[in-house]
Amino acid sequence: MEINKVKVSAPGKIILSGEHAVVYGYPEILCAVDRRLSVEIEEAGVGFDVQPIEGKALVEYAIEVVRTKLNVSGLRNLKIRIDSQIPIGSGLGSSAAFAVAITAAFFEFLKLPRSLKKINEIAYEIEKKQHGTPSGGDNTVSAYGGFLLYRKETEVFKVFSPLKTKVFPSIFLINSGKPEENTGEMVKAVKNFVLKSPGQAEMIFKEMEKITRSFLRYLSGEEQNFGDLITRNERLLEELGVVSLKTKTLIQKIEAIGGSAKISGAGGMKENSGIILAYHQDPKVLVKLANEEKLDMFRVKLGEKGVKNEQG
Amino acid sequence: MSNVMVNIGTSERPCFVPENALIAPQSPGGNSWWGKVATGSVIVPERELLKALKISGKAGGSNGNKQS
Repeated sequence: MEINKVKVSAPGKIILSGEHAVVYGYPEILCAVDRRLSVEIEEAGVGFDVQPIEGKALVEYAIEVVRTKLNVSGLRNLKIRIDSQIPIGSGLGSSAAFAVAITAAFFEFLKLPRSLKKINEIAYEIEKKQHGTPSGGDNTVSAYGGFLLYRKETEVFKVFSPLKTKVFPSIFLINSGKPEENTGEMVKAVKNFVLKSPGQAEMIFKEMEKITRSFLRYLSGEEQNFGDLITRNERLLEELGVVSLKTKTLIQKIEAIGGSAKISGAGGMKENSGIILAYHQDPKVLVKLANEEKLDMFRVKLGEKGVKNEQG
Repeated sequence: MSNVMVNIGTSERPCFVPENALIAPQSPGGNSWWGKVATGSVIVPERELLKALKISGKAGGSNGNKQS
């Protein structure tokens, strides 16, 4: 008898533009990247096995939601294996990729007709169980892939616009190291800035929105200034005070060789600033710098395909 | 991983936050959640954001209602 075995993967994501500003109602662009997380589900005679074991609690969460939402029982004697190329807790959307991949894997396992809309809805419920009030952006970009414009219009009304793009740039992600301050402190620092200098903060956020809109034109092939937009975005993040001197120095080195770079995520003020997005028209030049500076750098392609079956 | 969520909103307008984000914002779970706030992956209304920042700035626990 053939054993029921399925394997599905979903991509991680990065924020191309709009971090921090998005908290205050300004738009941001999310994009799927070619770092993926896969979930394999196999029927087991007896028992419930999750590899790696650290994922067991998450898998149990997910199964509980899947059972409820799909109105199915059982799902007990299973072997589940999670493999991820997405670093955990780095802002690259590993939890959303997991939620999407495991939901889609159960659709395959239960031989249900694939519905991206339904998979996305269930993944959102799994995200809610972990994070309270997720926006839904991470799971949406992981399910559908590509690029997504997101804006919180009000506290309850959110707008997601999938983008039709002609350009799929390759960039590099540099891990500048774990920031000394926790990310709660970063959110607080920006909040304090907004409360202390509301006019200046509004000006920065409005400029960020202009850059986000220019990125949209770039992605649709209307503009060719990708590097310049990254540099301008970085300057505004520096004005917000979320980039450390050490990171600014590194970014200046990248700019000095004709490249551009910005932090991607919450940033860090004292020493390290987390993930940095870097771009150069000639990638070899960046690779040479990374080798000289011993940077932890890897290449990613933007606009990756969403959730997909890995078993043909 | 803690699976406890704390309601820092009201019963009419709940706002659930992972306990770690409040009492241990420097922990991997707490850090990750606040990162999600900064990048819009998690939405926290203005009033609750200020409350969460105030709670997480203290070393002690929170007074919210917990749920598992």
